[in-house]
Amino acid sequence: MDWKKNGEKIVQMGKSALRGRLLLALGFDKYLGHIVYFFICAIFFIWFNLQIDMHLHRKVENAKTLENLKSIHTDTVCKLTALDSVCEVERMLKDMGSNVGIPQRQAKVVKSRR
Amino acid sequence: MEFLWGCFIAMGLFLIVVITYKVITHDSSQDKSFSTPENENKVTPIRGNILDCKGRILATSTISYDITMDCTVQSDTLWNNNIQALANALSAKFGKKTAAEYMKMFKTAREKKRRSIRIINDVNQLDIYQVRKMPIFNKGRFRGGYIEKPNEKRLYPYGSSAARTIGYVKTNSENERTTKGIEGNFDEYLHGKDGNQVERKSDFGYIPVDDSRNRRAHDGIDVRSTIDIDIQNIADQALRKTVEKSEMVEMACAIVMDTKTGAIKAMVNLGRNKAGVIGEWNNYALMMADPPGSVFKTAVLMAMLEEGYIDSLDQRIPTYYGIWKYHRVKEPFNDTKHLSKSRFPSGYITVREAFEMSANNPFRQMICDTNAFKKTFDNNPQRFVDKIRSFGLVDTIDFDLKGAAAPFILDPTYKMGNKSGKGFWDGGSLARMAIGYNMEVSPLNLITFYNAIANDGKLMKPYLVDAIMDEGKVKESFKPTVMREQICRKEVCDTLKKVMSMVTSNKGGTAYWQLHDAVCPIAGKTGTAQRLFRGRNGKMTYNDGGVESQRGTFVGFFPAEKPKYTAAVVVWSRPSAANFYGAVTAAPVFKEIADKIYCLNED
Repeated sequence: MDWKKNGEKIVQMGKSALRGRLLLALGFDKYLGHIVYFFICAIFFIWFNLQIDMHLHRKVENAKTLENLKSIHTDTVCKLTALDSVCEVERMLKDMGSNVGIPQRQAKVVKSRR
Repeated sequence: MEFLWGCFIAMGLFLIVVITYKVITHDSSQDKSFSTPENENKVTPIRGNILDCKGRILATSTISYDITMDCTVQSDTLWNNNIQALANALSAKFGKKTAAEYMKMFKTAREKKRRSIRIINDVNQLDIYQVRKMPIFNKGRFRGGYIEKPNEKRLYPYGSSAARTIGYVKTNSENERTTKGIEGNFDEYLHGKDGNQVERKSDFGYIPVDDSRNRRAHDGIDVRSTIDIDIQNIADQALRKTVEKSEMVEMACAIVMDTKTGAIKAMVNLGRNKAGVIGEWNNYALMMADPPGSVFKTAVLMAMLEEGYIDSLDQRIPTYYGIWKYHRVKEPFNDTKHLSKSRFPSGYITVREAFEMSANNPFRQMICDTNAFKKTFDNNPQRFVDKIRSFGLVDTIDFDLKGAAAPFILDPTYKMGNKSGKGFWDGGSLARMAIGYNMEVSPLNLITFYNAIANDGKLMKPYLVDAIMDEGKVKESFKPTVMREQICRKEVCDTLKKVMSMVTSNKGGTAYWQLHDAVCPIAGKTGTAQRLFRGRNGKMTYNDGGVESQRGTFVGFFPAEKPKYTAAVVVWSRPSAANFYGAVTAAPVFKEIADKIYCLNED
C-alpha cells in the first residue's frame, strides 16, 4: 500500500466533499429542495424553541413579580389592620391630645317610624 | 474503491460502539453529561391565614430579605467612589448603625477579603426596591457584590395579642411545624401540600419543564377563628394593667365567651417569665387546674335547689356564731370572720346573704348539717359528687387547642392508696368540697359551667375556630355544640342569676364595691382559693408560716337580665403573706372588660 498516494487521495476527497462534489457525484442535486426545506425546518425548530424558552423565562419572572406584589399587598394590609383595632385607635387619639375615646354608654338606635 | 469500503467499515464500527454503549452497557450516571442541566426543587406552599370572626387578619405570610455583601468583587474605582454613599444610604434608611459604623465594617471586610458580610436582615418587600437602587448594590451580584436571600416570614399584625391562642411559626417549612395554638392544631389546613418542580437550564436561566416528577403545590387554606380582636385587645389591656400594677401577681387569664353559642371571643394569658417580662408565655386558661374556691358555691347552691333540699333563697341557716362542729371532723369549722354575733345577733343567716358575702360555714352546713337542714348529702356524698358531675363542671372538654388540663373531683370511692395521686376520701372531704376544695378545675371549665347558667341551663362546648375558608368561601364550618341539653331546671337558673346579681348590686355582696357602678348590670361570683406551692422545706403546702399562694377569681355574665357574654378573670399570686382577694384583683378587670364591650354594642 502506497500510504502517501492514499493520503493525497483522502485530502483530495475531503476538499471535493467540502466543495459539494461528493454530493453531486452521489446524485444529491435532485434532493436540493428537500435539503433546503430541511434546513428551513431546522431553523424554525431552533427559533421556536428559543421563543418557548424566552416565554417560559418571562413567565417565571412574572410569577416572581406577582409574588413580590402580593408580598407588598400583605405588608400594607397588615400595617392597616394593626391600626384598625379599637385600642390602637384610642391610643392614637390620646397621643394627638383628643378627648374622643371608647363610648361611655351604649348607642341608642333611633328606629324609623315607617 | 478500497477507500470507500474503508469508510463504510469505519462508520459501521462507530455505530456498533454507539449502540453497545447506549443500549447494552447503559450507565445512567453518564446521561447527565449528555443532557441539559436540570434542577429538582421542592416548592413550599404559601401558609394559610388566620382570621378573626370579622375576617380581620390575625396571622399571614409574606417575604422578607436578608442582605449580605461580597466585598471582593467591586473594582477599586467603584468602591472608593461609592462606599461612603452606600454607608450613608443604609444608615438613613434603617437607622440600626451609623454611617461611620457601616464604613468601619466595609473597610475591615474589604481588607480581609470577606466574601459575605451581613448588612441587614428582615427587609420587607417595600424597602427592598430602595435597597437595590443604593450605590454599589445597583450593580448587582457580580459587579456590586449584592446578595439578597428571600425568606418566608409569618406576620402577626396585632403583635403579642392572643399570641398563645394563635400560636407561632417562623416559616411554613416541614421542619418548623408547631403544635401550639391555632397554628399548631390546624396545621393540616394552614400548611397546604408541598410540591415539586423540575427546571432545566436555558439560555435565559432556569425554566420549568413538564416532567412526571412534577407535583403541584397546594397553598394552605384560611382558618377563621371566633376571636373578636377588639374584645381581645380590650381584655388584654384591662388584664395587663392588673399584672403590671402588682409584682405579687404571678400570672393571670381572662376569657370572654358568647353565651348562646359558646364561641370564645377573647382569651388572654399573661404571666411573668424569669426575667420578669410580662407576656403570653403559657395558656393558663387551659392548663391551670386548681381548686376553684368560693366560685364553686354556685354549684353547691345549684345542687341543693335541684334536689329540693332548699326551698328558697330566704331559707334561714343557723350560724352558731361562726363555730360549727361537724360530727365527722375533730376540730370545729371557724367562720367567725363572716358570722360573728355582732354581725348576725339573731344567730341566723339566709341562703341569699350567705351567697352574697360568700360565707363558708353556711355552705358546709347546706350539704353536711343534718341539724340545720331536713335533707343533706351527708349520708350520701356520692350523690353530691354525681350531681356535680351531671352539671358538666368536671367534664373533660375536647377543645380546639391541645394542653387542656383534665379536671378532677375527689370521689367517695377513693380510699387511701388509690391511684389518683390526689388524695383520698375522709370525714372532712365533703365539707371541704362545699367551699371548692378536693377538686381541680381550669378557668375554661369554670366559664363553661357559668355560661350554662347564663344560657338557661344549656351547656355549650367552648370553641375557637368556626370555619375553614378557601379564597373567601367557607369550605367547612364548625357549628356550636351542645354538651348537655339541660344541666338544671330553668327555675333554678333564674334563681341563681338573681342571687348572682345580688353579689354585685347589694351592699353585702363581695363584689359590690367594685361592680355596683358598672355601666351594665353584671351577675357573677367572686372566689379566692389557696393553692399548693413549694414551701421553704421543699414540701408542697398551702401555708408556710403565714405565706400563701392564692387564686383570685371573678366569673359572671352581662347584661344580667339577658346575658350576651360570659367572662372569667383569674389571677394567681406568688407565695406571699399579703391578702389577695378575687373581688379586689379580678373583679375590676371584669368591670373594665364588661363596660367597654357593652358600650361598643348597640342598644
